[in-house]
Amino acid sequence: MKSSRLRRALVTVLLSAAAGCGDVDPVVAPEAEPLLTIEAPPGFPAQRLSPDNPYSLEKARLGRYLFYDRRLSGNETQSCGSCHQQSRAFTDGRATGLGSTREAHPRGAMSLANVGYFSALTWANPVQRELERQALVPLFGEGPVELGLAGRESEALDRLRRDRRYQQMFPRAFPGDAEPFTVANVARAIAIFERTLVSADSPFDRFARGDTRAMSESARRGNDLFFSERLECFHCHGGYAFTDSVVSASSAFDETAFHNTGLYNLDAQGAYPAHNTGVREITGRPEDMGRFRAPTLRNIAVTAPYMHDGSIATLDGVLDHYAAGGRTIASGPLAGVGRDNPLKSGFVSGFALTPQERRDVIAFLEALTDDRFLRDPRFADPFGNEP
Amino acid sequence: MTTSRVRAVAAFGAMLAALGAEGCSDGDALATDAGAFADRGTLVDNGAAPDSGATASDVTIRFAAKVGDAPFRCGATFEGVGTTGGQWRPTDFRFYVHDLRVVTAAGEAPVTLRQDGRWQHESVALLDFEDRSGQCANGTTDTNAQVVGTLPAGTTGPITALRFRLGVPFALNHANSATAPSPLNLSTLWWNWQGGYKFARIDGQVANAMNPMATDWYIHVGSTGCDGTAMGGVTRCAEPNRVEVELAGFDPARNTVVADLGRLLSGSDVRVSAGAPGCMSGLADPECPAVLRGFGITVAGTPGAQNFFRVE
Repeated sequence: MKSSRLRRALVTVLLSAAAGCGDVDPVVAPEAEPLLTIEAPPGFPAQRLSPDNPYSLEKARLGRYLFYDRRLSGNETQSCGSCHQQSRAFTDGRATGLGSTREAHPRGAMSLANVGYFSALTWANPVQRELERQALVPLFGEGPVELGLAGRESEALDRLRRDRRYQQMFPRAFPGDAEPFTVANVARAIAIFERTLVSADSPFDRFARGDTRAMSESARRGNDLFFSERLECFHCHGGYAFTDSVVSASSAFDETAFHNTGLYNLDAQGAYPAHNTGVREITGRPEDMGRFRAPTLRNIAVTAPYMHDGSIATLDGVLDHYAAGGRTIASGPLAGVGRDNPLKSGFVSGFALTPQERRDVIAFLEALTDDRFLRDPRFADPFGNEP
Repeated sequence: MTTSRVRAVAAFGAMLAALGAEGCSDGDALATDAGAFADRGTLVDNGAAPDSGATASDVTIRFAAKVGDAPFRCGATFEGVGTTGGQWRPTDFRFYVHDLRVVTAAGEAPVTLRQDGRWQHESVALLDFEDRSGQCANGTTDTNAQVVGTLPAGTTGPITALRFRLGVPFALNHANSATAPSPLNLSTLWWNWQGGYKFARIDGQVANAMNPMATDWYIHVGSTGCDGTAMGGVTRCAEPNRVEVELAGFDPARNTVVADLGRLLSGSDVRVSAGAPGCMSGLADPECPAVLRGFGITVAGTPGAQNFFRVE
């Protein structure tokens, strides 16, 4: 055990050195074989899995390594975990993403907390439903380039094949496959790891389970405001996943929702900036302008900046936007009165908060932070690159 | 705001906690004890296999959605809605019914619902007239316009009336919606501010000459004023808003239950909306009394006059 741990640590150091990222914190070194499960926490339904990708612990463990493996980018500088960092609830703290080739992404990295329960993935794509398929977008996408593997899949798979750990892990994760090193299997393993990223132990959850001291008085007042007809937050951010696009094993119907919140209104007709038009980019329908998926609010306090384009820096600023019933930008190329966006959701009608009420709502949002999730060594980067 | 501090989280906690409503009652049940216990009876019946005498008979209750005389359809624009003739473009039209019964000369006979794993669970069925087309963009593509079940053995003679309740029965309404089976696991029908479900969700956008910019008008009916603890166990809702509907002259073989949005809104000015858009069951919402009474709900002591459902 000891020697294998030593060897693992050594491998980690070598890998990190090869990738040009020196310092490895030995404290971050994870347990040798973390128990990664997809079991529903109390009060959550079971996840609906993709039919051709059943859960196995071996797959989840492999997926964790692949998720954090920088060899899965063209120039070996980034992994999935570069933009989805555990300490930030699997976001990256940037307004919008920056790929391995330094190409900018128009939208920000979304949290992966409870991603196994989301019926629509990414910000505004109604047809992006399966983690196994979505994983291919950052891996191979060219508009924008993220991990930059387009046309280089053989090269990337060869990198994995040469690794002694993967020589053991791939056959164990895909025991029936004559050739387990495939792009599809990489995506399957990453998807299963993503399904293990379940966040359900915030002060809010503990309070709901009966620990009356878990939430402060202020957070409890904020809870009432959040779930009130006055603020209307819960219409789109309701339910166990704090979003209205959810799916579980018991779902009989497909349920996804997208909303225009009046963040922009460039032309008084409801226009959003041309490179970020939301669902309209996929469907081409004019009425889909500015419609984006309601992101989960779990761990929202650690995922700043906010909105699909990171254009609001703080939770206070987000409350300003919703209190105004849509954001007004006074001047510049993005000027417009979002409140008057004709495509805006009727739930974004504005409200007034006293300073204390505002503090209460923010205290409630902060009570959705699941510290255990953010520090859980099972989800940590085994290579020690990502925070 | 009269909300107790823990109520909303408690209501939400109902989703997280296991069944917390065992043996509970609510204002509705207190008001009409017999009805409440009939609910229970139906639930138990559903669990039991029908008599092996194979004499239970199949029955289908057909529903239709209309706006006045016009068939409801997502993507359509309905003219002349409300007291001032607004234009209504639908965005949703779904409601739950439960505890269906038919009336014959021998009395009342319960409809035992087929447990299809989709539209029907225990005594509850979801009627769904939106198909995600047009402006109904956040709905589901599947639709359902019928309730399918069986009548007990020995139910004979002509059926002369239909009785049912709008909404979800108390025990199911305050169980954990996150782990509930279909059709109780649709997040767009969760009633997150009180716990439970939107018994009816009928949404639209209104445009007219005075207000060419379409504004949303929502009709959400559900139980309000619910109590609870941190464990989520709701024991009572001050306004259950669970409506008993009786439709005389209904024969399943010949008739359809029409849910008519036009008549429901016949006393409402949909061009205006003070407070929350439309009526989402808020007691202080000025749009609510007319809408809730149209469902047959007593508001501020004034009994409702059900005009949403009719027989055709």
